[in-house]
Amino acid sequence: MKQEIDFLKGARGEREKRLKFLRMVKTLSILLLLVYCLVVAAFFSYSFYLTTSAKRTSREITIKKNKIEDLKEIETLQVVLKQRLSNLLKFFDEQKKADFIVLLDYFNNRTQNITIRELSLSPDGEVKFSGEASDIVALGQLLENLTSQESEDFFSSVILSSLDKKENDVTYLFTILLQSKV
Amino acid sequence: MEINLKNLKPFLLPILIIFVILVVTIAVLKPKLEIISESRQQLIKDKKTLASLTTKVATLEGLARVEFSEKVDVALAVLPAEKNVPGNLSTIKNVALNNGLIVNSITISEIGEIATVGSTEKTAKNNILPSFKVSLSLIGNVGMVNDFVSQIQSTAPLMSVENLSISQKKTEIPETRMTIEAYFLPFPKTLGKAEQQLVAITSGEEKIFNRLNDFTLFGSETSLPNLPVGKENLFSP
Repeated sequence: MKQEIDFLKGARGEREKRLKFLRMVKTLSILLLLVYCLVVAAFFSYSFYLTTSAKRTSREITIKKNKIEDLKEIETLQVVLKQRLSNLLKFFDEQKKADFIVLLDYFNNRTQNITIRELSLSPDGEVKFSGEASDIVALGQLLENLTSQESEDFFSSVILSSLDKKENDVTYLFTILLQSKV
Repeated sequence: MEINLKNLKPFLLPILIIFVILVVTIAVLKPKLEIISESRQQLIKDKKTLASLTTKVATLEGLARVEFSEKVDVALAVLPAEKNVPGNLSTIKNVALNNGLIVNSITISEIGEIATVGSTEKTAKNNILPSFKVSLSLIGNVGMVNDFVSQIQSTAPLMSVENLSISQKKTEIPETRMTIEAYFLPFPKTLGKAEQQLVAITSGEEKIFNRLNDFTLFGSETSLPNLPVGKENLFSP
């Protein structure tokens, strides 16, 4: 039986291993290049997309701005109306002045047989009422009216400041200071 | 140690690839990445602006021009953009006459600049609306004065009675002295940026408008009378 002895077996195995390694390095490097190319392509595509989108958005912004410019008249109307209504809302909300209409109405309707000499109304609700009562009954009626339950809704304080009776006369001169609630 | 160049030859391609990758990354991709990042930020910002502008256009298109124009006319009649002294005096006179009162005297104080349309007009401390004062003396009874006060505060242009004093000597008709505050409000200076959203009118403001709508409007008497200019037909007798 013929037997062969391979003296190069070890060296050949090592060479094959080396060749295999080199082939793998080559393949991997090519793969790396391909992947890198894909990344670069994606990168540039994204950049292109951004540029296109930016241009399109910018164009749309210009169109919208032009449209707003065309609608400037209605915008002006809205802004002016809003400015006026918001200021008036604050104005009416903060109007805490005494209600002169209610007070005048009160003195107009509840001063029978009284001649008003002076009636001063101030925004903080101070009322000075001077008058002439035709007689003691009229004066009594006035004071009764001013201190009645109903008048409590109108005044928080009623002070008879002065009272004079004229000589040889039945008339009374008086001054009343009041603090309005309305 | 001797380096055999022949042994390095198979590694040339991978080295070259890595070198190219590094060069392209440093020279091209890195600067481009910064540009892309900035562009992306800008695009996000622009898209927000666009969305805001789209909303504003839709809002503006939804507003009825005629209706707004009428509303602004009412608001401007009640709250003029400038000191309308003749308008205020005319209204005071008309309301007094309507209520049977005789206007004894009218004094206007603190008028300041007459032509003030810009929003630089200073308002007095704690005052929301700029104003000027009108002092007047009226002759008439308390009932008439009451009606006058009621009517003047619900007639355009906006005025409010600040203080009031009625005095009467024995046999005379009562004389009423009062101070009226007449209000105005200059126009806003600017409309704001295009992308700035419109602030909608609230329900509270709508109620205020309904209140303004109930204000009495007297025809302006400030317009110039129609005076004949020249002679139309020279041959007419």
